[in-house]
Amino acid sequence: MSAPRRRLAAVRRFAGSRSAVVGAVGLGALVLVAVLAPIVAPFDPAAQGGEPLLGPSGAHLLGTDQLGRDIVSRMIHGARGSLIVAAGAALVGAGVGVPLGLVAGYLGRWADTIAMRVVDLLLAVPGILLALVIIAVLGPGRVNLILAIGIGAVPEFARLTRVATLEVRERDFVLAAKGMGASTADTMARTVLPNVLGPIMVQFVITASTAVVVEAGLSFLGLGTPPPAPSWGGMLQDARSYLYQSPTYGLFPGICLAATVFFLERIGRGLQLAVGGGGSRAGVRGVGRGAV
Amino acid sequence: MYGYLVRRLMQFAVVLFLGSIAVWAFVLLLPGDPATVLIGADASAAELAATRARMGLDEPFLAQYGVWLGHAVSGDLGLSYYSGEPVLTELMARIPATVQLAGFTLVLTLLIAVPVGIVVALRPYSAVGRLLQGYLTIGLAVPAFWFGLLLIIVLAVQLRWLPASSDFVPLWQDPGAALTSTILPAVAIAVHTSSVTARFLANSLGEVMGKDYIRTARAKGVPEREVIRRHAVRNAALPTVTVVGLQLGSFLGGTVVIEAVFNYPGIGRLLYTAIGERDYALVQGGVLFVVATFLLLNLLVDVAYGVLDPRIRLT
Repeated sequence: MSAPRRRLAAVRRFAGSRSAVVGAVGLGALVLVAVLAPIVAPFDPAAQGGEPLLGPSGAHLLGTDQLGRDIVSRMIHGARGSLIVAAGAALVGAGVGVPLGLVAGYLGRWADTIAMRVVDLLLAVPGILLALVIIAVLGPGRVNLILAIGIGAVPEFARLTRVATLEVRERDFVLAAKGMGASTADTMARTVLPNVLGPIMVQFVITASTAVVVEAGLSFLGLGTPPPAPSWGGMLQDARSYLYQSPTYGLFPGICLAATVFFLERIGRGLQLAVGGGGSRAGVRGVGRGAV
Repeated sequence: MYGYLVRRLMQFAVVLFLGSIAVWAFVLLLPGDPATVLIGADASAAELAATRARMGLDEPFLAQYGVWLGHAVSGDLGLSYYSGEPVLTELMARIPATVQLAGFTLVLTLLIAVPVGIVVALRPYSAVGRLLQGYLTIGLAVPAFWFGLLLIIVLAVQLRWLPASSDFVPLWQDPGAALTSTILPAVAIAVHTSSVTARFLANSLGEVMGKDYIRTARAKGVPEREVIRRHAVRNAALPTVTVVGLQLGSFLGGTVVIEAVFNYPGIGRLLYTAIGERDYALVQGGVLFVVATFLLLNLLVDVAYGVLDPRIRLT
């Protein structure tokens, strides 16, 4: 089967799996809400007019926070930060990890040894702790947050790409490209890379879902999205301070988090089925790093 | 086997060495000068110079690293900037709490994951199987720290069954109090980690069940219970051991947010506070401890793996 046809078949398999479609539709809706936040949110997320710590009511669908701000509106605006950081962190992880794994797997020898020991070291620091330390060095802010979480995702991408590269390295079409005089860099980028993209796409989605949780955890600790900007993790921190006055406050931002992770996980599973396995074995060492 | 062991030990040493460089160099990357952080910005130039000399900051980098490493190897991780206590003492004070929480969480994770994983793999379409798959889906999606918050809201705030914050009570002093103070954070983490582990076990068990040796065992008349217990689960358990080992590693230092939710005095909370107070000696020592423990656990898992599965030693 030619490459475009194979791609088409994979897209069909993805669209044919119910779990993938549920995830894609859910995430699509979430992205839409985030993009249209100023239009869909019933109130200004920073407006402090209302009575503080109200429960759900007709005027404020999910109630108000300790400063009388509307919880629904803050949740809708909070989606933006979560999604941007998740996508950004996955891009950073893939942007560094994929070339690293490609070079390690394709060149082998000392390049492989050095790259893999660095990866081992990065894996030895729990993701949230690594992010905390990186933020201590770089300072707070959204770009630094993306870098901090993204660096933690590098090892999974690197390992995965390396394993996939090892598998295709000696295949005929790679040897043919080399035989026709393609440079090493060219062979890696144009011949090997397109053939290892499947598991990388799966990992991209998994990383984004972990990043959503880590971002929320850091914001909960006060080191993620800086207040007063609304963020799901920051809202949970507020909710923790007012547990007795407003027990319902803590429910809603968490549901947003869980739903986002759920949608991404469904998409990841659908992708995994569509591109044919991969991802699970090489990613073993990344398992459980999102525990927070 | 010896070749495998030696290779694995060498790797361990190399990564730990790289780790010590990274942990040490981290302080150089920080904004501001460690001496200024230690004695405050309004100290005189002479005081600053004296402090710099005392901390060895005037030496070349390589010499500074050498001195630091030499001390670290002999267990001297320096003094905490904030409390003035030895870093090792500060760490030791938190280790029992962290180990106890990690132990509880590990036991809970296994107690849930093993039966759930087996049922989901063998009876995916039964009523119980479907229910448990629902548990896995929810467990994977729900962030542990939010689940912890929910537990507090329901069990501590509404029902008042358990305390909302978990002061550490050692198991050997008062097992009952230790259980009630550690159970909530442990459950919060275990719901997530057990889902990961059970999903993994179910996948590898599903793979194993299709193997020829399972068919052979059935064909020669081994009862189904025995086929599952002796032939299937044992083989599927191996890769799962790796996952559980990694999870255990992440419990030691990776539960910062959970500890914050429950006010639990573990290593994660200590490091979070140390970062906030710019207590870099403590951060260095703590991260080095976390990295070393994680690598050591990994090494043990890999060695156990090599003992259990002879094929591993050859690759």
